[in-house]
Amino acid sequence: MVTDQGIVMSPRQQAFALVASITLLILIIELVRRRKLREEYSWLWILTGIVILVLSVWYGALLFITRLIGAVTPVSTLFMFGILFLVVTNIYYSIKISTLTTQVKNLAQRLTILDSYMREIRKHQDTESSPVEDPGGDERGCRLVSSQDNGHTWKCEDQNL
Amino acid sequence: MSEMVVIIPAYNEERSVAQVIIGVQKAVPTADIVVINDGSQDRTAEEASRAGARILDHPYNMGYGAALQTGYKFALENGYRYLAQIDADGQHDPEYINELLAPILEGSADIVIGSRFLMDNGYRAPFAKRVGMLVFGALTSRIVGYHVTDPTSGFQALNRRAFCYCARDCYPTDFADADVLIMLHRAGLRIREVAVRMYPSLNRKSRYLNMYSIFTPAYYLFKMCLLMFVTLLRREQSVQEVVPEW
Repeated sequence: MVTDQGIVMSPRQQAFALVASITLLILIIELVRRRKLREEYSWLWILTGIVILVLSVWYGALLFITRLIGAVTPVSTLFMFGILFLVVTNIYYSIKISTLTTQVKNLAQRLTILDSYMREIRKHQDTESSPVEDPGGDERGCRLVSSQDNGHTWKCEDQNL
Repeated sequence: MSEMVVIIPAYNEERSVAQVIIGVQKAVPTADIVVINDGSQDRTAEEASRAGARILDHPYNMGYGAALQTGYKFALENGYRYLAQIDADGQHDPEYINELLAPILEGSADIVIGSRFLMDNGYRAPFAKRVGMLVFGALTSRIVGYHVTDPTSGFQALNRRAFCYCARDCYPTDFADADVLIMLHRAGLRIREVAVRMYPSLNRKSRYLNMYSIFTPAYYLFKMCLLMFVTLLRREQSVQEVVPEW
């Protein structure tokens, strides 16, 4: 194919771009189908696949963009779009990672505080079930003196009781 | 439960944490003491627990700012009205907690920062840090309208209004610096500095202590310029919007 600038994009290049974009689209759809990739993360990849596919098929549009941005060859326009896409994807993922980092931090802080409450409750329960000397005892003078097998033994100072 | 809590962020501070807790107990016997163990690999939690502090155990190392924020969130949930924070490496003198708390208790400030440069401690910061402090101190002083001498000091006291604001996601997970002071000032919080005594750290291995050694001065300069610039560009929520009951 020859452009008005005399620049050729060979059928082989065109075929490669076509195959690459279709493979990318199939891969992304398959990953979403298998739930390996969430829909919210897939749209940028699908968009790229579609753009490359359209530009490989609709050569006039590629030539128009090439002229518009002042690129030398249509292939370099495709490359430039690829690189631009990678930059946008990286920024998108950096934003996602920042959000996730904040969320993980908040979860970890929540876990830390809840864990401390749980330990306090356990400590409290242990104190309640551990050997406690009741100096007052009951009305008969019997008091709790030891704990065996999670049970308490009552002992009376007055053996006659 | 006490109205006041002293929070101590700690990372690998088994040598000094107990001593700091005992010092705090002497200085403010009525306060509850909470140690935030930020994923230490040593016996920091055990030592702190034995000394009588309540322990908040981070599941992994999250950074000095995140440890402080866990303390703020805990204080918020448990209804404390006043909070003091002190480092676990022994460089802050617990005796000065009462002086930090005085302006908070009398209602003349929301945040009080203990400055090592308002009294002669014999403390000499490394050259790069001194230059950084001078430049950013001057810039920050101009923005906040009072003379800032020690924006990185971790020895502080806050009232509920202030720690409620700092418990939000805007608070950094690493080290609060001049940019945070600007943010808090622009939110409408009243900040003051008081003179405190500081000692060399008891723990040379403390990662919190070596906060400047992990950044090269050039990176620190870049980071601070960027942070101060974007802080000024942001529209921060005012403290009245965040804590309307005050």
